[in-house]
Amino acid sequence: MYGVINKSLKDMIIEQFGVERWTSILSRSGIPADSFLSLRSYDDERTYALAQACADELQIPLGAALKSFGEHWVQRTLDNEYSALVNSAGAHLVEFLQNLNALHDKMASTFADYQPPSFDVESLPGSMISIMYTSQRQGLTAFVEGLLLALARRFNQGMDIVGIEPQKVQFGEQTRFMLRLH
Amino acid sequence: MTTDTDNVQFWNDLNRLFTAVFQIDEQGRIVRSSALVRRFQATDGALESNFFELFDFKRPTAFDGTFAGAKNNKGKLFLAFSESIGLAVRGQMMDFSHHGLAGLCFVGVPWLWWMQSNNPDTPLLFNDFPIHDAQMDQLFFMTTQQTMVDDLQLVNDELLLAKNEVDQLHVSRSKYFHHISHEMRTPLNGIISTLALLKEDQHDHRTEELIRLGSHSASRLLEVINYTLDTASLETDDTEEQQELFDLNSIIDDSLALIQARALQKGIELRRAGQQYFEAPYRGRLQLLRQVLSNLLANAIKFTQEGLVVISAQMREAQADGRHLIAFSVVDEGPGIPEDDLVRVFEPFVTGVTEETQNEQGTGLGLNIVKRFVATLGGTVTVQSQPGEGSTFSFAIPLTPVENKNSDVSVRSYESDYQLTGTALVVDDMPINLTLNAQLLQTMGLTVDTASSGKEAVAKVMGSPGRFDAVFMDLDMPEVSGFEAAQQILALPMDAVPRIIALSAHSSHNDRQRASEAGMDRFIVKPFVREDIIDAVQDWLPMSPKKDINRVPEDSSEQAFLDASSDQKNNELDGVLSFEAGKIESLIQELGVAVTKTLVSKFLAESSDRWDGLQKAMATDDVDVTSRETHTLGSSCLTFGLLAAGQRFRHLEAQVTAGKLISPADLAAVEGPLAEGIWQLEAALQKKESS
Repeated sequence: MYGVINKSLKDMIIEQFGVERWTSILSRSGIPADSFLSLRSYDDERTYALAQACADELQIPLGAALKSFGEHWVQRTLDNEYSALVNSAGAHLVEFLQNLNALHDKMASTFADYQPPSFDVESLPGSMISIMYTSQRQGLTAFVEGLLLALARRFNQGMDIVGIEPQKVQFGEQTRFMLRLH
Repeated sequence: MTTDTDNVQFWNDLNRLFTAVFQIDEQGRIVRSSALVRRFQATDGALESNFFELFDFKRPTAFDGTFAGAKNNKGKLFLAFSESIGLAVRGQMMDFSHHGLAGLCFVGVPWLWWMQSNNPDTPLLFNDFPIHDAQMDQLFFMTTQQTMVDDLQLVNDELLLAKNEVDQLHVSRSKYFHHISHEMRTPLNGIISTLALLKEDQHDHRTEELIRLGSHSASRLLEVINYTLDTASLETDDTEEQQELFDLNSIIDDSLALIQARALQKGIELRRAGQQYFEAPYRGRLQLLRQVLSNLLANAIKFTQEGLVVISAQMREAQADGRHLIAFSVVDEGPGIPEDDLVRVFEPFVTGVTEETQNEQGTGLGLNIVKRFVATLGGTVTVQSQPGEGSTFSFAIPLTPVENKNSDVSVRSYESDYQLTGTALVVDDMPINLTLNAQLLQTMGLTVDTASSGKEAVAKVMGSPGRFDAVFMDLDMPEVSGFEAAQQILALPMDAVPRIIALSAHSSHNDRQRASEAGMDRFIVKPFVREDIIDAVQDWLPMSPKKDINRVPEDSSEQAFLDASSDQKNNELDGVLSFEAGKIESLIQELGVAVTKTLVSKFLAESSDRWDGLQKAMATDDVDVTSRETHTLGSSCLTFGLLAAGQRFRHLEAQVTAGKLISPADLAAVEGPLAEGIWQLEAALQKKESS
């Protein structure tokens, strides 16, 4: 994963719990240094180790930690450092989600080893939306959950996640999120 | 090619490929436009505007804003913006007919950079750009690049902060070690002195062995402490203050003299190679250079069991900045160093212990000090060696020559314009030095009294409390040494204790340290000149402009004197000048011809007496007197510029110190240089006097 992810995780912990807590998490994770460069690709294991260390240090389930991180990622990182891009991706939640794959495609043209997830959006009757999240990585469904919740808030869209349905896949991870808009 | 726009499919295709599309008739009116454009046109009610009036054109540069002009620039990039509808577009023109009438079509995309700068409140959406357009990619790329720059700046700041913290820590640690080392050295010196006293008594074999072990260990510990202090001193920033004026010839000769006794003890021949005599004095970090030469020589002597150790110094080149690159080397005929060890010899605590040298095992710090000091002096020390063929340690450092004697004189004359006020006590056991130093201080305006021993000095200070502002104390005196006399004076129960300035023929780090620990204010190496005194006392002794400058004018006779000295330079004996006119010239400049002549007469008479005394002492095997007379004669000869004789006396002194007897042949070897030196000294004085 790119360093921007690790950097965002570090920012979240420092913002919410302080530098000392982050130092403790870093030590717990076994990662030698925390000077992450946003555009440098780091081993995924490094990110997983940091996330697990956060959960252990804060004594919360890993899923809860990842969900919080997903929300932080939208609120602090995307909306600050990449706001121009986020703004261009859609004027409302559904449009944004529908454009995500195209946005990722564009990013892939800039970063050769970029491995983004895909989000296939389907409108269903009764203000229901189905999002099929597919990733080559495992264990990040909770992160996507936090991300969807924060996006809804960002676009002032009332939304409930009424279903999170893991799909059976040979590798990676696939999850269907059922959203109700209101 | 004109395309028939009645073909709806073609219009739709254009709108799929481009998001900013205008169909324009020959009058410039917008006939049709794409959905994106209509979104902006609607804001101004400009749906049927004239394209060329609605937009300003930044490109093409030569475009005249007409339909015909647009038609002629179909292959060019159009950058157009409309302040009224808040839209900017980039694209190009193409022919486009409409119901059989010729027209144009502008096909393009929003001009992202203009929009972001001029209409940021109307953000463009992702779909406002066709897939093939790279502007959003550029935006993303630039955003991430900026993020990367910010990240790198952050990392840089963090590294800088960490470096500063490490530097601070390093300084604190050095200060701590420096302090601790000082604290350790004082009691350690006490231990060493105690053990030395114990050695003088009779003990059983076991006790003697324990004392020997204790002395050896204490000496090694002292060496380590000195190393710590020496390396710590390198880290101080006051390098300007550590620049000293020195005569390179004397430095090399002193280094040889210091190690001479050890060389004699081992039967090793120690000499200076080459005939190069350094005319100009140099300015640089004298103490470091002294230590480097001493360490290299000591190392060479240590590992050489028999044969020769040679030191050489040559000016390699005059650099563009005016400094001279001086190349030094120390060559020995020791066992040599295996190739595998060559890279390690300069590392600390590496000792090249062999069967022959195991009794002399050191701390392995000497060469590391050499490496560090040479680096500080601006050079790099290297070693060439092969087992069985000895070793050569070499380095070259830049030294700043003091331009020429005339400029040196001009500096002196400035300082000579001032006189000191105060009363000084000069202490020296050698009458010549005592008179010489007293005369010099008197010419500088001081009221001077003299003492010929440490004991007398203490008595005079004690007898007249508050009389003396300064005591110029020779260190190397029999019975009560200068160090002890200084301590006794400073311990006197007096309100106004005089400042004490150490005078020494040698300038080892150890002597300087001891003088400092004894409470002496400054350290001056003999023979000294006016500037040395000024430097030492100017901060606390009153200075006033001099009314009558009592010095020899810088006229043609002085030049004639210099010419004479130049002639004499060629008259060398065994690689060392018999006579260096610069010394006597300095005396004349400082004291005048008459006083110098008196001093020379006194020196010649006293030398004659001491020569006789030396011969008698040798005949009766009186080691103490022999040592003392060789020391005094050597020192006096060097003071008056009799280099060859002076060095030979030093050599004899070292020989006696090492416990070896002086043979009549040894003494005869001094006779020639002494006679030659005296003859040249008298000739130079006569020439000066007659001119």
